Amino acid sequence: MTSRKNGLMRRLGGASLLVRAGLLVVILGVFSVLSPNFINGYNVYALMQTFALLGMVTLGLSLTMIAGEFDLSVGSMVAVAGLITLKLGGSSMIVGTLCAVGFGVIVGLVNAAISSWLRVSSLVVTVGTMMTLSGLAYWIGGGQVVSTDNIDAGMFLDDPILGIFSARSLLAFAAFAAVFCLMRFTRGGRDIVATGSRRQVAAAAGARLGISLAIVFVISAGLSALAGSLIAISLTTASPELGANLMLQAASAAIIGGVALSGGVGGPIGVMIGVFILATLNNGLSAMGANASAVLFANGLVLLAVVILDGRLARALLERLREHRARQHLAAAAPAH
Amino acid sequence: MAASPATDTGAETPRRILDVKGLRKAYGGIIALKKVDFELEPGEVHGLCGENGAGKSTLVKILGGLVAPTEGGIVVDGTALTPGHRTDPRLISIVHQELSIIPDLSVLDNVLMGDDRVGELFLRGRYAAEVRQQLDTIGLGHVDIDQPARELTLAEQQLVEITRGVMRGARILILDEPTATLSDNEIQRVFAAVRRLRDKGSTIVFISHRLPEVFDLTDRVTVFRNGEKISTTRTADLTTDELVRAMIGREVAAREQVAHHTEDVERPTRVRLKDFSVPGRFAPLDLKIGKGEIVAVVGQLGSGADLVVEALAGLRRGYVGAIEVDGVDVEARSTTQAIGHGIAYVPEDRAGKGVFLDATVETNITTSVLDRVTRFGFLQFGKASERARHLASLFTIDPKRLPSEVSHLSGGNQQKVAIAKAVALDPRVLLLNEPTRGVDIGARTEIYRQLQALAKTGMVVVFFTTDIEEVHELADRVVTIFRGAVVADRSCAHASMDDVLTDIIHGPRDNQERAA
Amino acid sequence: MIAMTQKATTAMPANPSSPLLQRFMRPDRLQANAVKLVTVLLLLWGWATIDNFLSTANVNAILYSVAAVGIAAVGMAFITLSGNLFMLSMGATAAVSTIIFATTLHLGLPATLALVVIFGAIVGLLQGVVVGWAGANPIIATIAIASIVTGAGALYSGGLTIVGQGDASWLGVGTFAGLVPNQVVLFLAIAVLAEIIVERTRFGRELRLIGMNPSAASVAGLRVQRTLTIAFLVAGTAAAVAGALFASQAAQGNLRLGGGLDFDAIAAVLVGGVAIKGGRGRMMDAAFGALFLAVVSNILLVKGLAFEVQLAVKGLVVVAAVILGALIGGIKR
Repeated sequence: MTSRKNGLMRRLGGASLLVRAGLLVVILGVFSVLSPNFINGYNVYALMQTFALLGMVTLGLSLTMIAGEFDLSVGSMVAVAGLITLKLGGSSMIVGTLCAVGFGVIVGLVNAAISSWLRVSSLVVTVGTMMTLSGLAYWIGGGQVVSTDNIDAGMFLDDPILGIFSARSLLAFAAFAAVFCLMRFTRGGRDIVATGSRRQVAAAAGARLGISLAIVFVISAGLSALAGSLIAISLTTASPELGANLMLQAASAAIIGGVALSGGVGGPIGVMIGVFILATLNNGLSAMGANASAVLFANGLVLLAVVILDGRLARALLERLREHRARQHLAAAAPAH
Repeated sequence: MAASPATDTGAETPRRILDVKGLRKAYGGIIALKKVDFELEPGEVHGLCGENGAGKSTLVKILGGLVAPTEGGIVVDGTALTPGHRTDPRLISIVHQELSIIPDLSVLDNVLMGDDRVGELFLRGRYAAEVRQQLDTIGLGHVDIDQPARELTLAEQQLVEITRGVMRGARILILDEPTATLSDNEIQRVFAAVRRLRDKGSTIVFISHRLPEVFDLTDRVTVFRNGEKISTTRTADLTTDELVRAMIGREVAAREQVAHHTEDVERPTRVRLKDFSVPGRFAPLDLKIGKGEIVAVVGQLGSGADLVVEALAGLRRGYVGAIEVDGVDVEARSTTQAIGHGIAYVPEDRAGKGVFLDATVETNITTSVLDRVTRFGFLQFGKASERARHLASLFTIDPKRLPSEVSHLSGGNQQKVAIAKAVALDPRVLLLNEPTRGVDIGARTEIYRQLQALAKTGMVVVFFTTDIEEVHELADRVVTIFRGAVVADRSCAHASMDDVLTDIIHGPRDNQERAA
Repeated sequence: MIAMTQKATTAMPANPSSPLLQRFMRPDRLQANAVKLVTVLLLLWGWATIDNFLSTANVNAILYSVAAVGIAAVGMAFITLSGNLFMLSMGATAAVSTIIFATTLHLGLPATLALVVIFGAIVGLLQGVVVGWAGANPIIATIAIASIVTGAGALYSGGLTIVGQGDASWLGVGTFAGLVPNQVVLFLAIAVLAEIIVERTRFGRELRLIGMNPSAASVAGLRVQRTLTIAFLVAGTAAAVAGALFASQAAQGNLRLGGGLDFDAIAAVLVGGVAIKGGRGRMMDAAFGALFLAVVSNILLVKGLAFEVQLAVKGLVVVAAVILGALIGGIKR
């Protein structure tokens, strides 16, 4: 028998969100100790800037994960979007960004269409997309770095607002807010969770599979495109190398943020915390003098750890623990029959 | 909504809420439904009975639009349904046998899932009160509408799913085995909800194996058997015997002459279960099975009977108690372990777990015994072929079919392959879950014959089935499980199938009626 | 008696007119056979329409471009056949292998190769344990390992190029009987060995069955975890060997070599007709897939199309192969 008593803590999401927030605080604490004056205005600004890119990409990726899929092409999309923006932007960067995002939406629809129509795992479809986009990136840029003279747009995007934010990072926060509303207040959001939670019965339960997949892949590609476009404007350069390790980091951040690879679990708040945890980790390591390779190495370790914890063995152990506790609970309250 | 014209005699023809005409469904060579006509009167509670494989689930899937019929049409309240398209849940709402609860969504979300009234913007507040009220009425007052469905017990989840069906306010609500996991109390609440719905004008279809409930709740009963509609009768005019006979198809008494039963002999014990239980699923049981004995374990859905067999096979890691084979304690914590102790298992889901559809018959048969046909890591194809051939001939599988892919075989032959695969191990104990589901009569007989021959060599055969015929034709002994506990252990030579059926449906009887 | 009344649909169509054609068109071999046919046709077309297409120089170019990728593709095929989709750490493993190759070349080529193989085996084994035993998602796990390996390699090499102190010419430019490059001989030997292993050993049989139906494999008592671990070990080794080939050709080790190996291997496997869902396909299919792509790349190159176009073409080829495979085989997830 379940009771209303443990109302607050039984919100499983809530409990683990607290744990994650706690983890973030711990990491901040550790780095503050290791690197004095770690938490200063500039560092926080830098953190927010990292969030602007990583957060947006992770948000999109995590949505596909919640639906039980995985968009491997987010990293390549960032690169292509940046290149499209600068190539087509010219004097008006907005045009460039719109083109990039439009392209992202189309790619997202293609991903969704092939996945659901042919019932092929999205892991396979997005590998193909990723490869195609990589090729496209080299083709657009002619293998070289593309740059623009339009510094003003970049400066506008990165101008500090209230000291630590910028237009870019605020946009990322807005994206999170939008996705939060989608998941909480719309039927589409529920369908997405159902699609990822128990795919086989979701249709029988009334969830709309095709629409759910379309939504998540379009948002994923679209957000990656937007993020890529903005970072290119900000850096005034775009290259095929842009976002090289983004997919890896986004996957880590998402899983750290409580999104399960199996689907159905996780939400924007957790993802946000996960992104900040990873960004703080990376920025902290850099502040301590670690070079890019060391950070890459560390990121790999982190991803390996979380993917193992998210794996079958760990889940089986957790399930047995839960069963054990449930049985104790049942034994305590006299059984129905 | 087409109103039927009154007939000349002035008698009112009941306007049918559901009219199914000439419905036929074939899956390749297998015919699941043979030209079925079926109709529902508005405002009735209509029972649908039949054994597994009789065609009930297929009919339900077609009505729900999940599957398109090969032939035939359906008219609901005057509107023809488009085949293959999900039926408007306001016309027909189905509560399936397999729960479609989404564990990661809240109870509220689960109840409202797929409800077209809700619209794109899903504001909790608007519906919370109504959902709360419905849940309270059906007995889930203690459940928080915002908690994840994952946290509910199976019975609670079933009630949530029924609430979902009820709330849709569909013209026709189909409940497929809704009471399997419920307690008597909960069942009465469901019935009350069903009656309330009927009073409001909905029509209910109640599919169930539990005949007492069918008699309690329904106005009319339709029986399906082998893909055909056998009869539709007013419940009041029907007796249990008549209903059972319609479902099974033959005079139960006459069956006695057909089956061969080995007379009761003193057999040395080969398998012994001591305090054997899967916590939460079935209570500790003690069982002694003799050498060469064929034992049927039976029970309704949710009774735990199938789990007894699964646990023995190594599929329930968390079982407690002891298993003893040939006097030695063995552990069956995994299928590999069980196989290591000579316990082979033929699963129920043969396409999913029993055979490798894309592999050849020969490959399938030798799957579990690769170590016996390998030398220095290399497969000895000649030896493997020989073994496969031998086993195939045992089960009357045409040797010419050995190189064919199993997916190309009929259901009966596929099952033979699945069983041959397990027998290849030369096991001491052969476990089967629904040994002949979806298998034609000819193959069925061959399988029974072969299993009986194997038993004569000393092999213990234990199988779970929901087919009473099968118990009678194959088993020496039948153990009945009711709500997790053994309520009967009868010798087939001395028991009638009526007795067994009664055990299954009603559970424990007076001591004096229990056979030795 | 009963055998004749089966309601089965037979595998072979009743029409006996052309058994060879039937075998060619069998649904599960259609793609693999088609690719082989198209490869031959392309070669013929190239010979007919392009000057010097079958000259020694160009043939060598094709052969050298297929050797390393082919080896990696064969390794990748083990993973795909087992139902674990892909291993996205091949590029990283190959890249770091080039570093190891260059660093240890002074010990002599045989020793160097042995060390490279050991390295690949360890990296593969690690992935095998994580995926096979801990049950982690294979794609993500291999991505993680790729980063760890690359990061470690970068920390060690500092991103610099390392020139080996030794003679790698046997592998780099050496030929067998003056005609066939040793790299190609190695590729062929590995491909044939892999084919034998998968078709004729217990391990190979278990691998295929696991890929076909993991739950049935588990119920039947197959050694699932052990088999998967070995498959990853083999794949990791193959990637390392491919790296050695790159290093010997470039006569140096640096992390930029081997980039794109993942994509090339995946493309080769999928195009060649190894089914994504697992359980279907042969090692030789992957090898031929690599050959096909090498021929296509060569033709594009000779026709003057840029590298970037080739990359995009490869991606599209993968998508096309996936769609084709799905349509032919009715792939479910």
